[in-house]
Amino acid sequence: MYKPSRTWWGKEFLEILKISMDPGRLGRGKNYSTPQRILSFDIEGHKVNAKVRGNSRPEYGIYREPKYHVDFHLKKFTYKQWDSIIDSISNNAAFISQLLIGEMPSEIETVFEKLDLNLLPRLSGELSSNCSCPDYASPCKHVAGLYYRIASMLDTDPLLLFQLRGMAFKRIEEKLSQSPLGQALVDLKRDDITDIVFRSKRYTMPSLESKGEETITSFWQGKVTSLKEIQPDQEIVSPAVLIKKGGEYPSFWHKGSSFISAMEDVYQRIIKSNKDSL
Amino acid sequence: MSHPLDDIKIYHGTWIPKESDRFDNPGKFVIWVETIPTQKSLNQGRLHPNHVQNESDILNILSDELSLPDTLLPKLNPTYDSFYTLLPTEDKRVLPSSEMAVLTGDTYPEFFEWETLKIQCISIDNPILFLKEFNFQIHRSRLEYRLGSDLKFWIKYTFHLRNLITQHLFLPILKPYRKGKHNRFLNVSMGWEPTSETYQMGLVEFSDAIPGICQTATLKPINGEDKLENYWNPKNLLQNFSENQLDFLVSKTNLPLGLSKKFDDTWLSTSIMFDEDGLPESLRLIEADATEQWNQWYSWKKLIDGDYGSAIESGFKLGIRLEDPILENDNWNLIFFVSSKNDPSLQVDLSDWWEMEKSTRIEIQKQFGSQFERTLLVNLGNAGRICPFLWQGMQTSKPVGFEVEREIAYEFLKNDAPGLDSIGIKIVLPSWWLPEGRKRIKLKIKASNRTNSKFESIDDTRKLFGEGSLIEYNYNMALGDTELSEEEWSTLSQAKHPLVQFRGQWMELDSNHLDKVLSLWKNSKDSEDDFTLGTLAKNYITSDHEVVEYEFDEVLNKLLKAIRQQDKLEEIDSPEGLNGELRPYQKKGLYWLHLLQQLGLNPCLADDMGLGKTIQIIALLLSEREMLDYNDKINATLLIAPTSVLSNWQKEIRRFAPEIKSIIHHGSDRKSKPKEFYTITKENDVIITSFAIARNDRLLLKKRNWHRIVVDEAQNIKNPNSARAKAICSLKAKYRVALTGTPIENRLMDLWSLFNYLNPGYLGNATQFKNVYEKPIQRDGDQERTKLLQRLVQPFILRRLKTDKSIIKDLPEKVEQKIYCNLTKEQALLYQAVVDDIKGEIKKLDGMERRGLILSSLTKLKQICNHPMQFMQDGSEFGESRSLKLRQLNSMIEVSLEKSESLLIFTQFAFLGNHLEIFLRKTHHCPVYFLQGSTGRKKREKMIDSFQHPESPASIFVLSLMAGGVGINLTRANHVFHFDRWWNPAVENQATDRAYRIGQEKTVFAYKMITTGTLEEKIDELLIEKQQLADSIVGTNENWITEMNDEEFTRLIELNAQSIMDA
Repeated sequence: MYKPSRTWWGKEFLEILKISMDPGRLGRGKNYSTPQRILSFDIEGHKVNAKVRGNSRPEYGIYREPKYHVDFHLKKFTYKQWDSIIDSISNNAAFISQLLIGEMPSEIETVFEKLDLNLLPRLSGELSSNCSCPDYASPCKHVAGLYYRIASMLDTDPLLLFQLRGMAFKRIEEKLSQSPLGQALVDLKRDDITDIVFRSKRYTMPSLESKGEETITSFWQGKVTSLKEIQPDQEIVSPAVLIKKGGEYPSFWHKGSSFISAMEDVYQRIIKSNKDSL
Repeated sequence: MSHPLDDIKIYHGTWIPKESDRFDNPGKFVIWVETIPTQKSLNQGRLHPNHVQNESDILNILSDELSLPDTLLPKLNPTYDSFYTLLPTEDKRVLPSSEMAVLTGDTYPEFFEWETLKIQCISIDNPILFLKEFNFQIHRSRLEYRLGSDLKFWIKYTFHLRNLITQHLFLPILKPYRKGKHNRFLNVSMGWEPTSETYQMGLVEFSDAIPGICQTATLKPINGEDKLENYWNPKNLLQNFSENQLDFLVSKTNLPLGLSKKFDDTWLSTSIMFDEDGLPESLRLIEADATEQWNQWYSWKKLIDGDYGSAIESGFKLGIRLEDPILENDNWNLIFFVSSKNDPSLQVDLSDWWEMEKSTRIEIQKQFGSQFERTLLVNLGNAGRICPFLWQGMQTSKPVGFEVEREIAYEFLKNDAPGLDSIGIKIVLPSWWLPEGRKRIKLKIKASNRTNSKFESIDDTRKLFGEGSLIEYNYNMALGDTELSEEEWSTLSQAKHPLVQFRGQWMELDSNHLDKVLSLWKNSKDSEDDFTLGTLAKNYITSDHEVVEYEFDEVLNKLLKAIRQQDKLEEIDSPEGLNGELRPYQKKGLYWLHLLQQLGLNPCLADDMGLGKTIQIIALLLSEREMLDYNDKINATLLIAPTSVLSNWQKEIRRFAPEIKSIIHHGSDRKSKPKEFYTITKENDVIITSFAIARNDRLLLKKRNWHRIVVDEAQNIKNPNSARAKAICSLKAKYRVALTGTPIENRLMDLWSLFNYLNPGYLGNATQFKNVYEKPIQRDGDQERTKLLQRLVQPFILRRLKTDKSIIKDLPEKVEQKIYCNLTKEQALLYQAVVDDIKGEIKKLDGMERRGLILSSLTKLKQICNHPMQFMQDGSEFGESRSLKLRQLNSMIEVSLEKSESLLIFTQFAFLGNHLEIFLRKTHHCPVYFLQGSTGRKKREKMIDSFQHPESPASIFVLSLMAGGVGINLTRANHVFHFDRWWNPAVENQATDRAYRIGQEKTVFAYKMITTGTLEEKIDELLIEKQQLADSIVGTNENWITEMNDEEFTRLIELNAQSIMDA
């Protein structure tokens, strides 16, 4: 399954395909965003390259499934422009905050507008693409597939869009580090993929350890009397409060609807089904 | 003869994690029942010798003794099981648990050994449910002393865990694991775990308090030399329990198809699917997919947990403060600040922060932790996500806060603030918004009495309550103390915005609330209630403070305010005929009794034991007679009390109010023919009877229209279905009063029963009451209902504690009281036989022999007065039914213990002391000590130390008068009972001074127990006489009695047959 973009920036990112392609190709293109079709891809600087599996077409003498080379890139901004953009962003706490919690700042375009630019591509000329398939039209469905894939990545990594617009993170890192807000962004970029932490047991298994001194009284009573009386909470203060911190569309959530609202229902169900015990 | 402690059981239980080679390791919650220690040494099988081992026995205990609901057990799926645990032993004997040791009087040895033993138990599913129901039962049925601390620990932990769950503080957790060595697939399972700062803090707090017995239980025996090496790590143990329970609860959740479908094709779908063992199912994934899934989940979880540097690890919290404008149409201010977690007084507005000198900032930042900006920004981001308009205030490099319009401010107050608070942001709101400072529009009902009667003494109330004395009402809207003019009210009621400024002060106009006020206004105006003071009083008591406020004229104010503000009661003079002076608080009590009675509200006087409820009632009887006009008569009062205090009542009435005629209606020779009974009700002011007779003679008693029924020790009618409660409730009386010394508010059905007697229907019927109050309050801890119920019952119950500051100043430091009890028939027969014997013998003897006879017969008679068994020494039953003195002692002990107050009991007989010790231990489940002459010095010191220890529970100390009368310090006790009388009050007083001495912080109550009609009473009278002459005449022993002549002596010991009573 491909993951359609659900964030506003992911959706807007896709707009350009609609004006650059006919609906038929666009529709077929969606099916080319899956791992079965996109055999590999990488993002180098602001360019995206991929190997995409096409269909065998015996009627054209193509019996083996062909592999096409696909690439695309967006019109990039100059270093100078980026310096100015970063300057504005790192002076806006709302922007940095939103980027830190994995969201594209809703007012981000105001920064670009000041330079007569737009972050999200709007004109067909802003997208350049190539594909080794025989289709005369460009962009073809293979480009669209790749483009959809990148769009879905943007949902959880809005900073990727900056990269696609030519921001060289290494180059501006130093500049960012100069402002306290910018430094926070640098730290975020450094958080890397981690290895799987395996569990040996389903439930945290306590180890056996030494108690040292123990009296008969402490053995039987501990310090239970020192624990305060606990009153049951009556009303839920904020439903799915933890989930809310993780955002509407966490990276694993491929659905169009909000993860938070689905989980609110789940929590309420869990509590309702166990009303007896709780 | 069976051991009197045989049926004592202590309930234990704990969580046991499962050691397993496999990935799945579901643990178990086990319950076991400890029985009294035996001398049995450990056998080969190493089974704990002192616990209930049989499956059906344990199950019976759970279902019958704990009276858990029938429907509960099947849900718990109880399974017969066993486990192993470390236990302290001495000489191959298992030592009892602390709770058991308290009951048996065992003390722990200095040296002991650890042994691993096997215990038979029941394992159950859903311990959260079990412990909740169990705790509820304990509160209902007074079993609290029988729980091991291990179970108490788990009750508290599950309460904590329940709160985490109901607040949604748990998350789906990804659990990747390897199965087999060279498998190219990885297994990924799911589960649910609590997570949050509250959870983490709870783990630390509970780990610190956990009893060792909870850490040593295992499903397989653990070998090893050093037994103390084998303790479960407490924090992990609690995690293991919490994770198990959460998975269990989620596995019991039915998600509708529509909802579960939403999770299709995500790893979450397995989190809501469970296999037949109730464990979440696993997925088998290739490494790349597993890694991708892991990373997605892990970064999400980190974002939530705040590993990205949020406030959980940092030293500060982000705060948002809302400030209201001075002018109504100005904007409001939202201000960002940070506050140190370690030092809440360290708060810095961000506007100051950014302006600070760098060096100052660095200094303060040490408190706030590293990565200050990043943490701050993440917190701002989280806040913005919950409350998006906050982004407006962050469009700058140095966010400090921003202005908002009234609509947004209201939204923030109403909805956003609680949400932000729950994600750990500190919220500061204007004081007028907070419940304490909130002013609301209320209906103000002004009531005044039309007659303009003055109210100077309680006597005047009759005029106020007389016919034609009607109340005038006047209705207004008011805000705080201010009445609203018509114009103001119409402006407010038409305000377009719920936040308005009124006379310079901001307030919320809650439309729900306004509707309530309006409809009350309408209802009050159109009401068809009569205009009597009684109706006003009832409306006033049941009114909702939030909606209505009463204003009374001076007279009504005096009368009515007092029912809600018991600390503002007036004092009225002691009635003239009272042979004694009321203490100030008793004068207030008398006023209160009069007042409620006049208002048609039947009161319960619930003063602490020792504060003199009896004298307040006697004063009430006297004063209502003194108020009578010439020729007026009032019917008799029926006083119902436990048998053991009937004669005490009569004694007290005679002593304090000689002109009030009373008769005890009890025993087989009572006047039970209607005609005779009618006569005695006409001839007497008070008919004193027992609960048993009130039931037996209910038809007789029903025929009379009583002026008043007084139920003493009203906890005796706590069971509304009992024949006695039904009989008493069916009697006709103008007024009813209840007296009790035990706190009644805690057991709600008892409270209902009390009100069913006093003011039937006031709290609804039993079923309604159960559903509306008992279950929500005691099972679910509903605070709203608790408050509502308190408001309803509080005006009817006057409960003053001897520890109240206002009472202490009225009380001497030592209060002495005599408690009179009757003999039972058995005692009387024995007593008479001994007296007859002596009368015959004494004439024949002289010199040493006569002395010897006198002394030995004194002893015999005193023994009989205490308990027949003490006299017969035949091992027969030592129970309450054979001695009213013992019964009275026992019920007074119960009252003291309920208040967690310790007590001393002095007796001159070691034999009796010994039996008292055993009897009390069995009855009261608290530490009971016994000190006699033969007690070794070491043991004696140990007992005194543990009795005096500030953390020990309320305890009973039985002392032989001679061994315990001097030298020692027992100031933990503030009740002292003298179970039998000594010939010299000085000796008794010296004994009382064990408690009444330096270090005593409470008033000491000394009770001297006296059987009426016996030598005990005569001695008491003699002592008073002699004391009036000169203290020195009375020696320290009974020698002076041997100097009496035969006639004097027989008069001393003779039995007054009137004072016999069946228990």
